[in-house]
Amino acid sequence: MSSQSSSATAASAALHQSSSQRALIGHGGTSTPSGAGTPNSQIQQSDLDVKQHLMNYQRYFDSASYPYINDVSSYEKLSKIGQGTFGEVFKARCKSTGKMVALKKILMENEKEGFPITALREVKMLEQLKHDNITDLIEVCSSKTAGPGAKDRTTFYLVFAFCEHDLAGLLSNNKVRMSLVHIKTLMKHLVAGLNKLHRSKILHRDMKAANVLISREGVLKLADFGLARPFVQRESGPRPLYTNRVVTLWYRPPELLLGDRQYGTKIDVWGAGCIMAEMWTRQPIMQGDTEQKQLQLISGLCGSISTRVWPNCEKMPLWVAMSSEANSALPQGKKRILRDKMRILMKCDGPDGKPMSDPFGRSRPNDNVPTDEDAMNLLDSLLAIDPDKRPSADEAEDDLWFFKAPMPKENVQDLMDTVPTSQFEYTVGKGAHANRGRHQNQQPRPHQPQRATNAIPAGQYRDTIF
Amino acid sequence: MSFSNTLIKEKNGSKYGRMLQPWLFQKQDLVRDTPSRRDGISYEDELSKRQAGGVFIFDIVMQLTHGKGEHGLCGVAVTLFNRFFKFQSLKRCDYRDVAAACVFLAGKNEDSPKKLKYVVNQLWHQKFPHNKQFPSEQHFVDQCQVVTFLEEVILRTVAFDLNVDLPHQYVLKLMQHVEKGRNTYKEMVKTAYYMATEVLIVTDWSIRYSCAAIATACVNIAAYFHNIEMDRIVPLDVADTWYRFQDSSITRAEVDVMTKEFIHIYSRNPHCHVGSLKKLDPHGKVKIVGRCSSQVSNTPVSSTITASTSSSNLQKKVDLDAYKGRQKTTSQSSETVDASRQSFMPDVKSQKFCEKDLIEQRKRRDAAERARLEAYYQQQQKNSSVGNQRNTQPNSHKRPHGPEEVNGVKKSRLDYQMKFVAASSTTSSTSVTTNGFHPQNQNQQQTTIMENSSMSAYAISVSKMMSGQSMNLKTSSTTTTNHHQQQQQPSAYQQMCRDLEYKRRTPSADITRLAPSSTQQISPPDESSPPVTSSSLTYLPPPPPPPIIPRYVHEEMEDGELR
Repeated sequence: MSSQSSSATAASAALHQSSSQRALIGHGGTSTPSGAGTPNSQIQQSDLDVKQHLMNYQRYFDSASYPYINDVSSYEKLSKIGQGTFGEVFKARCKSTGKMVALKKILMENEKEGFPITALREVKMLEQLKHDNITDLIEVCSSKTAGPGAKDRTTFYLVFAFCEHDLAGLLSNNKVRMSLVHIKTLMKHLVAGLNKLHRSKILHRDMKAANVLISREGVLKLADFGLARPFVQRESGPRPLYTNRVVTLWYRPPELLLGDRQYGTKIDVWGAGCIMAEMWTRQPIMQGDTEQKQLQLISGLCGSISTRVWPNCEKMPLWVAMSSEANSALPQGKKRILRDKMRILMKCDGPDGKPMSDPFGRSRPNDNVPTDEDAMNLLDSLLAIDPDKRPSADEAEDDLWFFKAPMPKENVQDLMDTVPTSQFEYTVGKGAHANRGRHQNQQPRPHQPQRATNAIPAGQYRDTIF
Repeated sequence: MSFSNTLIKEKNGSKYGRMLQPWLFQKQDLVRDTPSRRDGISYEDELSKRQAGGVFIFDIVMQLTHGKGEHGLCGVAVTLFNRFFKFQSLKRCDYRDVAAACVFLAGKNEDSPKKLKYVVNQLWHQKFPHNKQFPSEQHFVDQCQVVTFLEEVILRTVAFDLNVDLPHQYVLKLMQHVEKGRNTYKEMVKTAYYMATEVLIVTDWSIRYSCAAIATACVNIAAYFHNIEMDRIVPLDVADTWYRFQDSSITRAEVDVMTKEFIHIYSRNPHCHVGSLKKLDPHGKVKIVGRCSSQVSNTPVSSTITASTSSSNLQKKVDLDAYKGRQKTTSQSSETVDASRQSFMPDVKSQKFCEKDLIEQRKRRDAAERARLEAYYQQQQKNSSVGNQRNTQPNSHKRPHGPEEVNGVKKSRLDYQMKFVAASSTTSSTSVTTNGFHPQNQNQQQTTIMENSSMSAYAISVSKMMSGQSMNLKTSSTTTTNHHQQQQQPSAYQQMCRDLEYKRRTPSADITRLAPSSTQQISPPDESSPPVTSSSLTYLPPPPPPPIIPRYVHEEMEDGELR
């Protein structure tokens, strides 16, 4: 039956090829070529049986061979390690090479437009970006789902090289002590990866500590390109409008909060600044729950947002709305206290190379230890209110801090050796630490590390051991 | 070689870059064994189905973009289509469904997504132009499911190798490189640009040649149609490397071979021209023949395309009728799609050069030259047995006249170069030949004629033509014979040329590939909206040209050129 319909398909295809030519030529011609002397209506009838075609296709293609794509069965799933932007993530091992990988499943349930375009974008971008400081997409593999009837869909998995830890998990672990050299090395990796990204004309748009992975060899890698997109750099003429609702709230720069839709690479630079500060403070520095709150926190730490520090701020779409009385999101007259707040933490390492500051409250008196001024300068510039005053990733890579003693190393392997097991933070939904029971803290400096039991959604396996 | 899969790059064991899997194959592999072949479809039928698919894709894209057309989208969809059918059989599926799924996927790929319902609508319209309504809701739903299912299948077949390279940007880069901002050949560049899409549709080069090679061939084809010879117009310092600009493994002969193949296929498949041949080819260089190659024609007989079967005989009739019919109804078409086909190609006749009189002069020269060389080559072919790679056999017994002349001359020149390929069967010596050939040509561009014995007689004759002297037929044939012998032993002068060329060329051979960009940046991102009937159709305007600085290329020597 299938062969008959497929031959009918072929014949009708041939017929329709010529009939479509005729149509295109504008011929009302009735000449029927080829051996199929049947009238048009009968051929069209079998063609109209689309359902039959669909079933034929399904039957044929499900058993066809696909030489270029691997099946997911060549990986052995070990454990689930979290929930990504559009699917679950598993830890797995390649059966043939023994290499550890992370399998990210692509969810296709709610898709009305076929394969999700966001997933396509991510794959395309990752296929082109190969860099030490960007997660390594090995391949995409597929699996046949044995589902009933028409719901037979293939599921696709993105196969990444596995990274043991993520930065957020490391930072919240009070057993992990990071020296200045470690922080410097990690920041160097971060900025290098970001530079590669921006050079390839891609915006990450989801910079946060949970999206920064650190491998067992101590190399930092930027991850989760689910929100990333390529950008166009046009000097003249109108720039395209991008969506404004990007980046997790705690890491969102002021221009996005003020509704900018023609932003650029500087939004990622702000995120890098937040992450850098977090390396000392051990938790996100500005944790607002609404846009207005976030703007207030930014004003409180980095100084008021005004034309004095950012000449174009009044041109922002939401400027008027945010500075209105009702919103009180933009308090004026606030001074920039970033330096003062961070000074206490950003101490140079002691003579034994161990960090002198300890954000977890067990510090020794450290008034005699100098603050690392170059680090402070870099942080200050990364968290500039005016996007144009922030350095580009390229300029940040050339910052003086990375070229002064103590020099950054190749990796933070020695740090990794002190951490026994993988520290993974889960994010369900948007917020970086949304499901962790921290209470709102307006000060960038933490009082006590919040180690409350995190609300674990049912059915998720947690791999952290503190 | 330009058809090798060298674009695949690896780092730490994982592949990245513009091509993750080997997608380029040799023609003999394609002829011998593909899934369609195993199901009983011959190479020619498969090729014609591919073409039909390409045309189908083009039509859908035209409709979806209200007649504007998107080269990037079209090109990617056609490439995906061709790659798909390298691994799947044409017998098992309706190529039109696959074509629609390709367009759908390519839209998402190129950041210009076309909504599923519009693609499905277009698919249905193209399939059943006489009854455009869906018979029922269920048909629509089923057709949507077909398209999404096929999209998945395509993704699995293609293995997510989505950073598809297209020749268009290579065409532009090449012409920029050749013209260096002079922008004299704007129309030809336009033709070459459109030709890139055309080539992808009409041939199966997307799975045989690298994009750089295709681009070079496109430029060559456009030059052919515009009556320009690339070797004449390129600046002197890149005279023998222009075709090597982006892919250092292409040979000059290969470019000609590709050109010939394209003309050959083009002449045989009038029904799938997306551009009007009349507009493109005012000189009537390409004779349309039917699908059946056994028909008497003036174009060279191909040995790869076998004799027709009965069905294609009948189809041949249709095609001829169709072609003639189309010619009659050129201006009266009611279908917007057909009208868009007419205007797809830029009108060759309306091209404006800065130095128009130079062109006229050159044409006159060419015509006279052709007549002269005709006789010589006719004689030459009788003497030697030429092992042509591809298709041409010496049809000296059936010398074509009129418009076929150029075809003949082109072929003979190819023979000429091919002889030396055969004689010295390494690529490097081909370059020696061409290397030796061109500096001599260049020397002749000077007004003063150097009495250097190593100069080719041909070149001498050319220079004499330029200075308006009449040529003696006999002198040319004897001196050109000398040229033969001289070419085989490179003189010291030629050696010097060659060495200097190599030295100069080495830095340029490291031209890094175009910076990978995640979108093709050929067509602007375009959110689709329901297609409206639009009466005005414009083709996509070419990119803004560099400023025009008129210069006489041929009379001057570039700085640093050898004297």
